[in-house]
Amino acid sequence: MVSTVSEPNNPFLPGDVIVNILKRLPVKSLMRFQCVCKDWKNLIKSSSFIQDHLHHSSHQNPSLFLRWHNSIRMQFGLLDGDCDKEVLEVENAPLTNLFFARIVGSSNGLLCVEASENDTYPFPLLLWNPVIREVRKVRRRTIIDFELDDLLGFGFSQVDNDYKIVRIKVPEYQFVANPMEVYSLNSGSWKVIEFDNLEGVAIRSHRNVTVNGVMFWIGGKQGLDDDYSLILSFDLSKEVWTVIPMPDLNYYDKIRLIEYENRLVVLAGFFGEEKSYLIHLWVVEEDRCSSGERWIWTKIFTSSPFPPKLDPVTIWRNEIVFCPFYQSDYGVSTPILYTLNLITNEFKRFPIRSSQNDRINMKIFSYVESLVSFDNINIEDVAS
Amino acid sequence: MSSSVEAITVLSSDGDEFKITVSAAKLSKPLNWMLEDVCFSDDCDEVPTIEVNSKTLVKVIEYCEKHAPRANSGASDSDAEELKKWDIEFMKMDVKDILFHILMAANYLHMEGLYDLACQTAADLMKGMTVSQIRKIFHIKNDFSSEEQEQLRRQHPGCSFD
Repeated sequence: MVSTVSEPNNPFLPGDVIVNILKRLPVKSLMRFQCVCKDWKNLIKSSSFIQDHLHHSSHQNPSLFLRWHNSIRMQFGLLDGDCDKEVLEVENAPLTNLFFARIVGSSNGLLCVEASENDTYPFPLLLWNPVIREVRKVRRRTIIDFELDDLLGFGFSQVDNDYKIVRIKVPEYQFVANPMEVYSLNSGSWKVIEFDNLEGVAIRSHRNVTVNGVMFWIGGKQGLDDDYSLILSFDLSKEVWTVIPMPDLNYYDKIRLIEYENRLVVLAGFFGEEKSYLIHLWVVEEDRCSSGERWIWTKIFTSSPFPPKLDPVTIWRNEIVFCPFYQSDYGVSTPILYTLNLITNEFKRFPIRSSQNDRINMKIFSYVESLVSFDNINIEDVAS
Repeated sequence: MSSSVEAITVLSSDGDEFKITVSAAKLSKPLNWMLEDVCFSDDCDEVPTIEVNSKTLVKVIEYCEKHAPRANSGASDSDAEELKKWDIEFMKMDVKDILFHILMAANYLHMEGLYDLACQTAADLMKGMTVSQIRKIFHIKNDFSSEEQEQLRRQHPGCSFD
């Protein structure tokens, strides 16, 4: 293969052509090619190249990141579109043999993880780039005490070019305690934020999603336990809350907030006829001009019916991804990942193979490989 | 532009003559400009030169002729699929030994589709290469001092300079 690019006759390629080739390479190759020469090393470490590479891989090669644990340890896996639909265990993950690990969020190749090797609370909050194998500890010195049931969110603000961790107290999912705290990676510190427009509303789930620098949570009216009629959005740059009404959904079974094509979508699951299940996708647009409804919802997708045991978790390359579950194939129990194509309405079934078999509690996150590093970010080293 | 003109003649950098159809030449802005010059000029004897060697130009023209119908009229999804397969074969079978020349030509002729295709092919080929193989094909000298190599090895255990 290699010798077919004949060496002596190759022309010298200009810098912009080299950049255009290198941005298409996986991070693993780029880490090796830092050793080619000083120019390449400086290029690969430059923030403009890191952005170019991230932009390319977000569009061309989005992946899924999986976390599961068996009776002994935490495991992390990657599902890449180029691979033969096999979950590859993250090599030499520094986060294994853990007592506890929960992924708070995933953004631009960085994962925010609450993880610990023992049961001492509070668990350290870590930022991890698995492909470049960097881990850093986030300072947990805060003004408001940490508690086990704090809601955490992690996202990127394009406006500030900063990653932020949001920490909210929502006692019993009944109301949002004022104030909250936001950690900025650029400043390396937590900041207390007061708000006054969340009276009478509550956050109903720890799940959240960040789209274009705005973090969204499912909410409802205070005092009504099964009310999920609101979306609470927190702008990571302006650091303000907005309350958005949910679309008009009747008799839904579950709702999820998901990012799709750079927009927030509401995914609603319904029971259909004969124990089948259906999914609807809704998008919202804000109408600032007219005097009528400010938030206009449009249904963009209705699935064909499928068995109700599938639990939708995210959207990956026009496919709704369902939480893997175990199925017996010839007496062997294998976790299966199902996806549903938003364009063709077709199901695909992917067995997940990896070294360990007794996996439990799988979680899936949208993920993109990146070179984003903590070099210029003011946080503590994990060793400290 | 006269509708009677269906193909023009161009010269490669080695001085060989090549014919390219008008619709195929439209895939490249610089080629298109040349074409307009030739067609509108009173003196049609002048043959424009393209700074691409013959071996590469043959392949560039082959790509243009294949992609021209779709580029000019728009095509169905099945055509797009077929063309995608053709692109993969085109890169696999024929151009590996002149890949970097194709890259340069696509860049110089502003042919976005071919440029992206060639960049992706180069990247796919490079994925499994060693550092010294990369240096060879890009004509790069290892300019790290032994101290710098030692430092890099400490930062990235297992990294190799060979």
